[in-house]
Amino acid sequence: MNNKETFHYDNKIVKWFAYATMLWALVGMLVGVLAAFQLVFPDLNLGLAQTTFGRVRPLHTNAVIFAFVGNGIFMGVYYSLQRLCKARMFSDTLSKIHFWGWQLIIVLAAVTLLAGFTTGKEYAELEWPIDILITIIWVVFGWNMFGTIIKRRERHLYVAIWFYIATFVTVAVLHLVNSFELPYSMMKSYSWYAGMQDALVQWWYGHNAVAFFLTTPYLGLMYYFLPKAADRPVYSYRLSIIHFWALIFLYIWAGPHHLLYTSLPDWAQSLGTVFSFMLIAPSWGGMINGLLTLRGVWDKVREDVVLKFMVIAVTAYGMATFEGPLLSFKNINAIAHFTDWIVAHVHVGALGWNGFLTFGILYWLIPRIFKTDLYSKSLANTHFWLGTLGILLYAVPMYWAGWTQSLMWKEFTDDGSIKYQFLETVVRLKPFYLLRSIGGTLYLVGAIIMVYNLIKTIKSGSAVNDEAAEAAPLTDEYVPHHKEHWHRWVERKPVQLMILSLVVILIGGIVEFVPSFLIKSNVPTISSVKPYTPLELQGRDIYVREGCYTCHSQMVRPFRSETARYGEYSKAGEFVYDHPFQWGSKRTGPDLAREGSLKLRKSNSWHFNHLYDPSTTSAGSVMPKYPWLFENDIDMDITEAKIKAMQTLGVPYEVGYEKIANDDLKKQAEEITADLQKEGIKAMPQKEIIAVIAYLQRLGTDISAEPKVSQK
Amino acid sequence: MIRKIKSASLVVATMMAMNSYAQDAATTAVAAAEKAPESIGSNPLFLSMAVLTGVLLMVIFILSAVLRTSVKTRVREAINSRTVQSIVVLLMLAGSQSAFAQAAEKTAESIYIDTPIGNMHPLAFYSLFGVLIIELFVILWLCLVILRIIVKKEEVSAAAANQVKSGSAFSTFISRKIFGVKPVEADKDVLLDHDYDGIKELDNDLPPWWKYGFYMTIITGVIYMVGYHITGTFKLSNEEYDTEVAEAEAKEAAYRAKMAMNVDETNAVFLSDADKIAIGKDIFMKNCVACHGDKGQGIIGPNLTDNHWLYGNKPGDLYKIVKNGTNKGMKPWKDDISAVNIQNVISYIHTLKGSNPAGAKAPEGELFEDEGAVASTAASDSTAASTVKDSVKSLEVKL
Repeated sequence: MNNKETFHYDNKIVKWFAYATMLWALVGMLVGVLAAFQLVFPDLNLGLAQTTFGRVRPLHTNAVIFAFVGNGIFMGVYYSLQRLCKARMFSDTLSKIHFWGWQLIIVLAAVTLLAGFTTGKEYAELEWPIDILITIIWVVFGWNMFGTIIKRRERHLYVAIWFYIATFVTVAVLHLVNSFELPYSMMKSYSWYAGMQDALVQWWYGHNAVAFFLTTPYLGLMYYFLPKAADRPVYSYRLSIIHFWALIFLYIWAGPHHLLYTSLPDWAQSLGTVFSFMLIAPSWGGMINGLLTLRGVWDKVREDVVLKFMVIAVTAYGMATFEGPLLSFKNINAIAHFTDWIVAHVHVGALGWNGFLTFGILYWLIPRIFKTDLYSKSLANTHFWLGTLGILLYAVPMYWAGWTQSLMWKEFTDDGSIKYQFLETVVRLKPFYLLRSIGGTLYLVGAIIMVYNLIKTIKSGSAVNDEAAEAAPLTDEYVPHHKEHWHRWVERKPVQLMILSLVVILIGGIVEFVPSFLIKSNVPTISSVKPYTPLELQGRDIYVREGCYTCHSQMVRPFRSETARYGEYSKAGEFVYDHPFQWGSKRTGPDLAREGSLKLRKSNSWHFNHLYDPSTTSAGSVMPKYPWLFENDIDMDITEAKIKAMQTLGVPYEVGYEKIANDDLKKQAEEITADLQKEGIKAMPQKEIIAVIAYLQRLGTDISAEPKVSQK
Repeated sequence: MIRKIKSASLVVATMMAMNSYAQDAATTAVAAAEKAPESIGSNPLFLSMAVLTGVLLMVIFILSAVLRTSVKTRVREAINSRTVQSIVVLLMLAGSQSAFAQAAEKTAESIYIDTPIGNMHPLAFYSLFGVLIIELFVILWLCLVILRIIVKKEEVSAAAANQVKSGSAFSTFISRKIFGVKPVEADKDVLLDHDYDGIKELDNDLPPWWKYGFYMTIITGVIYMVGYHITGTFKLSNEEYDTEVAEAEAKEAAYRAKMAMNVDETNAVFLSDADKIAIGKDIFMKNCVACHGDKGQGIIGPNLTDNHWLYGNKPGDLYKIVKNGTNKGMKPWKDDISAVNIQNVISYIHTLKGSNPAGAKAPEGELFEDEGAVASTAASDSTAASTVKDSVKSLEVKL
């Protein structure tokens, strides 16, 4: 062609995102290691509210997902998109806003999460002002990406870009729907949804955050960087078409598999199971296409550290996406859910798939941007082996811990009573937790070595911030010169591709949500379930603030081992005033759904002592101390706003109740204080601990107050 | 060539043997489920382990097939025979393991389980676990062998390219129909004119195993939905719960009944159940009337209806006398009357108190105030009491 245009790829923005990826990798993993050690040595919270497990754990998950992997995505997308479109990014300004906006979100997230501002919904803990900021920055990203795609010099969109587009639209939908919340203060809000519906929306989001933040963009990256690094053609174009559309269509339905055996309606649970099972093939489609692309260069895999990282990444992806569907079967879920098995499962995905693919890309990308060779191959190999060993040392003890825990929970003595107290299971798991922490540390050390190696590489080269390239612009007319695959059409039409993927991903959500929200029988009303008192509501918000849900579930499943331990299994009608729901996903501590019931009820003084120092009532417990609850005063100025917000959300407090709510609050606090007084404990009624006690004593009591389930 | 076919058939034969083992295991499991009240077949742990065993077996099968197809050149014949031999040995081992597991399951029915693991007999658990581990090792080892062969193949691919490909009908079937494997050299035939920043794409077919696997998952999904929500074949969570609780209660009752066999003088009580007392009366009428009279009024032996007792009036005291006899002439009944029935008899005797039958024998022994220690319910053992105590304790101890 003779009408070629010369232009420059923007490598500077890629470089920045690469730096951010490395920085947040270390931060996210370090926080993870801290959290892991805290589960063995709770005193590692240093006695500070800000560094206590319940706040550190959300920081870890958010840092790893949105900071480390997020920047990894943008690094890879900004590098590959320009080259696949034969065009510079649409706007350098948008790129800069995107970069700095995203880093600002991360910093704000870290500060607010540690300060205790959380929505209490996993992987969506960030509060409403940050949610708005995320929306804006995400739109900037999409705008920049689509601008680049529109002015591309390559007629057809490569499979990697399909994945980027699907990622963009789906994450936007997920974020908007799940972050629907009602602010009642500058930094705090209540989830718009309650109880079962909140759980359904949250796990639709949570599962698809895994799908569309940790999986689809990374598949896109794999489709670019793996064939590049291996210098081999992609194995099957047809496979990539089918597995792409099947993956994004099926993934969106699978969320309810996080809620098997809960109060979610059975039909929704079953949908979650079958769609998860159908996901095996589309997920493996990506793995097959990746691994078979390496046909003919397996000898190279032995030598090339980039390919080694990528092979392990793709293999870990295959393992995790095979295990996931298996975990979605009810009989396996009954063993695995709420245990460390799930923790092991997600870390195979995160450390193996996301971590190793990112490392592989970094080792490939940095020397290219800096026009130099990697500083040390042997350090990179050391990283590879440390990382692999770290994953093994992390995963194996966690699998073992999960099975141990589950078997102990379910074990009965011959005369039909529970064999192990919950605390016994906690104590039993400590060695596993310690091993896991060591595994995580090894992985972190590997990452530190990588960062050192890459810094040395960067110093030895000089950045090509604007890389020259040339390509002919697209002509208006396109005539295929021979018969082409039908899918080629949509590959020429980015907007149609986006709309089509939007439609495909909306179907599953709509089918699951609409009946859950509109059909009454899905939440049988329990007339004895009443709204929380103002004091209990305050206590509940403290419970959310401290991240209690990271270790305590509030969901008694219909198993004999649970009803024997915790009492009657939970019903959807019990949670109708829970904004947000607090069912939890992990039981490091016991379930609290019926903590106030006759079966489990403890005295106020027990809770008082337990929260002050858990070891006084439960020797060997890994729960941290909460001394600040005994110092902080309940924020009574905000009670009115809270009650008002709840009223708006449909919680039936009487009209005008918000004005007198504090009177009731004080009265109930006085009662609890008086009761504590009887047991020789002097407590002040305005302290947060009183609100927490009130909340805990309320949990699970309504259903037995007047057991009347009416199903309309 | 003949040798190759032979070794292939050896693999197939072994696989079939494995299969029949697996089937046996399945049948045993079903049988066990029918017979045993514990119903190991519905044990989630057992089921998942069994399913996993099956899945891994399939993987081994597939990998062996891959191995067969990967091994084609003369150079590799040596490895081949060694490989096949080792597979046979290992599979035999695995097979014997599952046979062992069966045996373990059978024992599980007869021996009483002391420390079950996830409601499975430890022997069954560890056997299954062992099988799983061995299968995993076989898989790992097969993968390594295959990888080594593939890598070597890459190195000699130039030489191999010249050779005429000849595989057995079986290996061709596996490679073409199931894996859709095409040699790397054939890539140029399916190379598309796509070029994205230097990345090219091949137009290879979907791997058949992947495609049919996908169909299979869809069909399974449909069956699952229909089975749970239309025909109601499978139990929903709450029904599952009711069954689980009912089964556990039955098991508990059976256990308690069995525990009652261990009644002795230390824990015997006077039962108040009408049917237990009826049994006691029956035995009394058969064995005791000769000395104590048909109404317990006393003939040779003392009157049992008054408040005077020679050896104490506690259930344990009575139990001991019936069991061991006395030096005044009453025989030990322990070999004639079961422990439970001794308790039933003394319970019947207890009902006679104050009945003032005609011709009652004069009182003998000391007078006891009526403190009779009647157990209120059927609780025939001390466990009920201790359970209550335990649960009180657990309330205190629970986190």
